[in-house]
Amino acid sequence: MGAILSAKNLTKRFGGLIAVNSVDIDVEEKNIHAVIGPNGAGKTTFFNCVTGFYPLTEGEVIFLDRPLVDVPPDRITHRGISRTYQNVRLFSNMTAIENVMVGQERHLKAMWFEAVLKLPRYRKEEKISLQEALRLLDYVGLGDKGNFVAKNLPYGAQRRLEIARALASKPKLLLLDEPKAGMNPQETIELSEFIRQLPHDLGLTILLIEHDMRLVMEISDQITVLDYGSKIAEGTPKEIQSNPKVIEAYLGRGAADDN
Amino acid sequence: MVEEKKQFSWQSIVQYGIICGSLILYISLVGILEAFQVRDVVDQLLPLGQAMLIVIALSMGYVAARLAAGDMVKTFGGSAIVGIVGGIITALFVNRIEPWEIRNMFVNASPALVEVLTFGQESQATGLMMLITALTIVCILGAVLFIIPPLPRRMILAGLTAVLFMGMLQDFLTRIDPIEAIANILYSRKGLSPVGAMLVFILFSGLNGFWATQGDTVQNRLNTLPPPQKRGLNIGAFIAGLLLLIAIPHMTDNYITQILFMVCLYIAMGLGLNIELGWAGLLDLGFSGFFAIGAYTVAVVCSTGELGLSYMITGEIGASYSFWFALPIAVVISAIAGVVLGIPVLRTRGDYLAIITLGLAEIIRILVKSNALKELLGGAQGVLNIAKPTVGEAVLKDPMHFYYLALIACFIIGFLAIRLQHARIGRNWMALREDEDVAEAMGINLIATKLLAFGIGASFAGLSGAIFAAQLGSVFPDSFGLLVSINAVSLVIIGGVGSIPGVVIGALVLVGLPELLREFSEFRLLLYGMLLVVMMLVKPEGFWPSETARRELEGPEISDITESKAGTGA
Repeated sequence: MGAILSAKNLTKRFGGLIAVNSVDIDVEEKNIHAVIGPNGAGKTTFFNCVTGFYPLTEGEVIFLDRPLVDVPPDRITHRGISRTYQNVRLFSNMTAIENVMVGQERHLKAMWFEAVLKLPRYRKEEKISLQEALRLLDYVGLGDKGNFVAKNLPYGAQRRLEIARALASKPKLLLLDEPKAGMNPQETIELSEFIRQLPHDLGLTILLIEHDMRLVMEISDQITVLDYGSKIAEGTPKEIQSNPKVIEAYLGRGAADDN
Repeated sequence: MVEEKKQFSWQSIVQYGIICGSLILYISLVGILEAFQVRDVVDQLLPLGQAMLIVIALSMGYVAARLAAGDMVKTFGGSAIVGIVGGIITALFVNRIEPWEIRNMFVNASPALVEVLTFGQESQATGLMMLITALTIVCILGAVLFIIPPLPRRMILAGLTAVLFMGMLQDFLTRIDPIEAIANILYSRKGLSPVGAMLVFILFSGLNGFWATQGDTVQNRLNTLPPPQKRGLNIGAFIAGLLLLIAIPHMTDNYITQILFMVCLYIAMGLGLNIELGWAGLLDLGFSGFFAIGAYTVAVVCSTGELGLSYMITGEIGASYSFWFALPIAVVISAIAGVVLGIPVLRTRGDYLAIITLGLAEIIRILVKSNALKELLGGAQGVLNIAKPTVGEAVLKDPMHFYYLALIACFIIGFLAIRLQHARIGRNWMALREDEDVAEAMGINLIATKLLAFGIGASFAGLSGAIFAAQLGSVFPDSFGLLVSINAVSLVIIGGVGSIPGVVIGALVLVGLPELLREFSEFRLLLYGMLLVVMMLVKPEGFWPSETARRELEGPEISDITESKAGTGA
């Protein structure tokens, strides 16, 4: 299997601050690839670079053999990358169904005047889109919450809704930014099972930022460790666990926290 | 409203008294009291000025009683003190008007005002004692209103409000034929007749009581109707409403029809702005510009004068192109203008967007007014001699004809708006309003989506402007000033941001009401301003909130967000 996404020499500077420093990452297809690192290591900045929100200072990102440089965020989504956010960012006053339907944008074609005239293509598309939204909500376990307004859902459900919305575009690569944040232990177990199933169920690749070491070690195929914007290690969970650099920069402190 | 429950203390009661007195002094010195005195709510019995005093005292007494939390002595004692303090303040003031020559500072502190406040008594002392006593009694009545059960309270309030409005709107209501027929019973020379007031009170409090007790049952019964019957009922209601709208000009006179015509134009414009502001969240303060573009397009194409298109092409004065030819052009040009003016503001949001649109609209207005475009658009003299639209042989010239034309435009625009709202584009607009970055990350093309909102919104306003120009027969740059834009924004907000029925109600209230209050001359704008302030404080979501706004105000039902957040550190 080849790399679905590869970043080469990816660098992002904000003024004098180097948030991401010359990072190379290859994400293999259908892998669960985790990016870890202490707070401020540049993980979320890396995500924002990949999804086109920040223009790169240097380097390039190649997705499915095509460069992503200077492609606006919406086009990147159309190419097949989808994401969730560290702090849940739903369309909070829209219902769960509406949120997921907005997520399907990539596959909707009917123009506004077709909607005005209710032409057949529009009607068919809306019907399919609604069914698909219900199916996805069911898939993430929110089948009975479709008409709930997003902000009225419990936190765990909001996280799952955000994943459903991200899945609605049928991405090839899904970026999850700290999906576990704010979940209780029971929800975490369900989540790890859920994420692990995604590549099998939907044939997608997952790039994941996560602080919870146990979760990362459990589900990841590959791990990249960032510290102060630079890549300090890469490998399988086993290799990372025994890497002295990682232990020094991260796991030492993380392990202490966990106990 | 979020308000700390205040504790009862005699100090705060005295404070309320002072507020009560200050309010009375305020309306006196501004001149409202005296100006309103000439109008009667109930003929010979209750002039509007005194009715306002009663409203103030009643609400202050009510508010004071709320503090007492059920303690009878505090309830009545408190409200009585509010009335006494308020009365004494007013009385002291009235007493000092002459010795201190207050009239030099406040022109409205006139003998006429004194007469109002002393009930026309010969001796000032007697009059002022009457004033204090009356205020105290009304304040206590306010307290009584508070302690009686909710049902009679809302019935009484509904009745009183109805009497107040029916009295105030006499001039307007008697123009409507069916009411005119019973006007002899309801109204006398000025204001409601005593019998009429009783009838109005009984009718409205009765209706209110019925709805309060039986409303839910009625609604339930309607909701549980089998679908075909429900559908039939809906269609029936729609047809009845439509017939009423068609019948209105026949039941009233040209003056009212003209007001309704303006209301329709503002509804059309408001629905356009509602797309930008209500759905896509783009605050456009230059919206009157598109209204102007529609109007000027029709003006130029249909003018028989030297600025007309016909003259430019054939060189003959007196001929012009048909309005029906100009209308689609006006709509298309407005839409294009919306898109073109949308381009420079694409990257801006919120406040910045508002300021830029404001600036652009002013630039356009001043350009049109200046000599630069005088050759084309007539400068400050405007474009005159716009030919009236014709249907077959008939020429549309009465307010009624234009009302129907505007009504049809409203229905078309309303239909478009409803269809768009529930389609993919409507969802995308809403997503854009909620979170622009995330909307973009979902694959929504921000540029196309925003420009579509600008274009469609502008075309609605252009259609409205086109009809406006045809009715007026001439256009001037100053008809499209900032006030029109502000009116449009206000009506969308007052009605309920993002809500289609809200736009209709907002236009009725903001465009219709000032016209109806015309007899209160300069105070009508004051009332209008007061309405805006009170409305935003009491009902910030508008008269008819959109589904989304209702959700926003409800707030999270399940508030374990904070709980979960607290657990993040584990």
